Amino acid sequence: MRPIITTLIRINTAIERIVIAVGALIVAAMVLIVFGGALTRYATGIGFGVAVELPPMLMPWLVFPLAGVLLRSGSHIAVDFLPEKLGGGGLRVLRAVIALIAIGAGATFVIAGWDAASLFRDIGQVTEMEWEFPIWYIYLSFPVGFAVLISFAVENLLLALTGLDDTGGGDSAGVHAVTE
Amino acid sequence: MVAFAIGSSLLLLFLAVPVFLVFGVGSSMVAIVGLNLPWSTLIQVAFGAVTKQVLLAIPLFIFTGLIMLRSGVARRLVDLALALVGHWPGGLGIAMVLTMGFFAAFCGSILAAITAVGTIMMPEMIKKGYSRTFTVTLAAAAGLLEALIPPSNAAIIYSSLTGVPVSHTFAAGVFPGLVLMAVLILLVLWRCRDMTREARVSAAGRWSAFVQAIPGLMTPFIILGGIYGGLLTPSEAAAVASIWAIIVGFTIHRELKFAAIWSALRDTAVTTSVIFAIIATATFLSVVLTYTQAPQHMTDYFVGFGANEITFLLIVGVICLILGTFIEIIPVFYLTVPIFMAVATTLGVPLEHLYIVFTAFAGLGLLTPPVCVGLYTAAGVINLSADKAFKELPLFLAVGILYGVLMIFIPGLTTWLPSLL
Amino acid sequence: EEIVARLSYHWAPAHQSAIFCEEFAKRVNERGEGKIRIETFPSGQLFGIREIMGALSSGAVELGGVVGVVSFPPVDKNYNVEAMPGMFKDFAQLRRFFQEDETGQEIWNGVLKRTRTQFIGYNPTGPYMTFSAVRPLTSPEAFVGLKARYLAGIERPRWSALGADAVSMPTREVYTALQNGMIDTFNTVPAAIKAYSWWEHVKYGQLPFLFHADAFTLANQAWYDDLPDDVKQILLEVGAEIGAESTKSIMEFSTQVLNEFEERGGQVDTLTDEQLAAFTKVDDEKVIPELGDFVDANVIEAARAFVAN
Ligand code: NA
Ligand code: NA
Repeated sequence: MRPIITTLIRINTAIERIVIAVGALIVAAMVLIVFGGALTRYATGIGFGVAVELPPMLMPWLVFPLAGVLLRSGSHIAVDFLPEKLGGGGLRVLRAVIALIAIGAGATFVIAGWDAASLFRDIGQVTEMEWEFPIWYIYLSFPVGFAVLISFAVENLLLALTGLDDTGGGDSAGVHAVTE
Repeated sequence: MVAFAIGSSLLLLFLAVPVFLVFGVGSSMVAIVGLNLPWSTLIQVAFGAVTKQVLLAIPLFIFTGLIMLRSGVARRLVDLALALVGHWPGGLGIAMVLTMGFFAAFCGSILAAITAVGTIMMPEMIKKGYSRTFTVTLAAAAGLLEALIPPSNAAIIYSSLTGVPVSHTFAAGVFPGLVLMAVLILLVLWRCRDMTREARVSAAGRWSAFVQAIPGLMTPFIILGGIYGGLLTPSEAAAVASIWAIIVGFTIHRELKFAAIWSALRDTAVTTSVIFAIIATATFLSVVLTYTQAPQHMTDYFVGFGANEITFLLIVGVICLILGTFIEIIPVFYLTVPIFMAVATTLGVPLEHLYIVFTAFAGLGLLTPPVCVGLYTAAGVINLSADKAFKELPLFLAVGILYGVLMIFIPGLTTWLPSLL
Repeated sequence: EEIVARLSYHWAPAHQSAIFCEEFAKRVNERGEGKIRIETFPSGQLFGIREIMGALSSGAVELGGVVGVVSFPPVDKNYNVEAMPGMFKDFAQLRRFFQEDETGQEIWNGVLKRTRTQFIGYNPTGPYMTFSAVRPLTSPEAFVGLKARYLAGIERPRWSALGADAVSMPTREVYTALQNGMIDTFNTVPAAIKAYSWWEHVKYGQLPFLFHADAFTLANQAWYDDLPDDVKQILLEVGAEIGAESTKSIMEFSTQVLNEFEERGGQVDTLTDEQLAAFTKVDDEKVIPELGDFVDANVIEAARAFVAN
């Protein structure tokens, strides 16, 4: 069991680094495109639709891959009344249940997201911007994001079942990389 | 069907499932099984919700706030507030409220404001003998100023849900924000009247603190001037302000580092994901509500029952207070705004007024357990366990509810400024 | 058993197209006599203007109000031919191009097939024309140096050709932008200058109409195919009636708004043949060669041949 968990944690740690870096770059792109759009309009009187329309289109690729990664650091908002009352075994059971729910929800949304991406690929719909590209490239962020979520939820499940992280076992480097 | 969605959601909440998954699971089961919708519908509505133009301002204002903190702007605003009111009874507490008010005028995120101002002010207050619980609760409560004083992420989301221009929702919050500041200052004056006072800062000291704070104080003028002068959209104003903050940090205060920009970008990405994941899945639930025509039923109910503006707003207040105990402002908006907007329009309640009532009552949710992100964030800043901070809650809640009722009965505070636009 | 269909549209209740959507549902419900009932979801509360096409394709709703220039070009860019300045003289000619011309049919049928939708009836947005806040637009030179607002990318080459600076701007920002001089000119339907109070700042209008923007009631194809024949019949019959009535009504309303505009002190200039020729020259020489990204050359040719006959 331990080698499997260790490998999964390594993979997830790599995913986490990539996804956070991509997210940071998307935010930087948003700031620069919006600022650049305002600046060119002010300086030349010419405003480009792309500066207005592109940044919101980047949002799904910022949000959904990260949503799964944040399961690891517990950054999501949750009611932690019950976890604070439970200890030891009870807490592990609860964490396993939460992970299972996340896996189930993740699987549902991977399928739904894939359906949506396929639909728009089949229709051949492009973005309504001056700079056109197929809109399913953006819809792809849903199945990808929720697949990432499943991967992190499986890690949480295995850790809860084995109690490895309680005993300090496993390579948990990066577990607390995201602190808010 | 709706009852099932709500019931299963409450169970999942109790089990400590992250809020965005709670909305996702409950409402997707209803949509797929109960309403027989194609699965992809959920994704389509979530896509529509998170790619809304107006919501782009949210990450940009979060980034601005984080850069302001790392540029040394926050520190200088604290110094100015201390120079102005530090010698008053409860001076440090009042300075925190005042700084939160300054900071609110360029930051869009409540939690970013609590972290930024709290990190500097709270240790100082505790060092000077203010009780830890009072300090934490005050910081969390003052965080609500951020949602009222423009720019505000809550206002942006409300606008995206109602179609009220962002400039109007922003304007609606100005006087309610100033009133809340006054209320909190009075609360500190009374509660901390016995604290040792700080020495009065000399006129020269005040002047120097003011000069140091000028770059920070200019930011609201850039943002609001840009928006109300019609030069910039809210998103552009946020982007311009963040670039301004970077320039100030590098050239004027000389405190900003490239590594700090990168960490601000990462933190913005994380916070944005947390907020937008909730927006995406809360939209699932509002779709279920819309498909079942809940807004129409609710409107019929209110009209049938002969509700007038005041009773309607009082009911809205109570519902937001209850929902706010479990979830925070943004999901409360997604759940209730589509429904209550229809009723408000029918009853002739201005949507700007509804916004302030929503924010005042749902905002108390920052303090009320079990989900009290404001209190958690503030407590986290000084490593205090959140449940230790609950001691001060009854006082703050009473004041908060009084404030909300005041907002219901004095609509002019809310509607006057937007009416000038 | 009663069939329940959901009709989603983005127009606000007071909008002409919204009124006809409601009328469509009402008549279908009356004539359906318990066989079919349409529930309407107005104001984009279910799906917005850009979301409705996908919702219809996937079957998230059975019926929807779709604006041609918004929803069709992302699927087939050649639908942009509708918005080419001066190409079609009225709605009837535009619609005949898509129904009768071989190239037109290919575009129209292709879009409906790919999006898995069935045409039920027309419910047009209205005729577009150019307005200005600063001076009469009676010659191409009048546009030089004006600040022009555009909504769709296809509008941009023409603004550049006329020497105006083009700014992309959402509808909700237009009023303020006119007020503080950020924009001087733009294309829109007459109804909009009244509905959004833009005529407080707009002083001049140019006729003839630039193009006619159509909108439609569409149905999810799979759902429609499964309907009993008598229900299909009712939908198409009411669709045709509403199409005729809404088209007539929007043209009358446009004229009425322009009259009110003139009563308020606005000026509407109808271009003389000579003036029109000057614009056509600019369009032919500078605009159409730039439209390659928006409409294929053979489609422009086919449309021209069609209107010439
Ligand atoms: Na604010
Ligand atoms: Na709460």
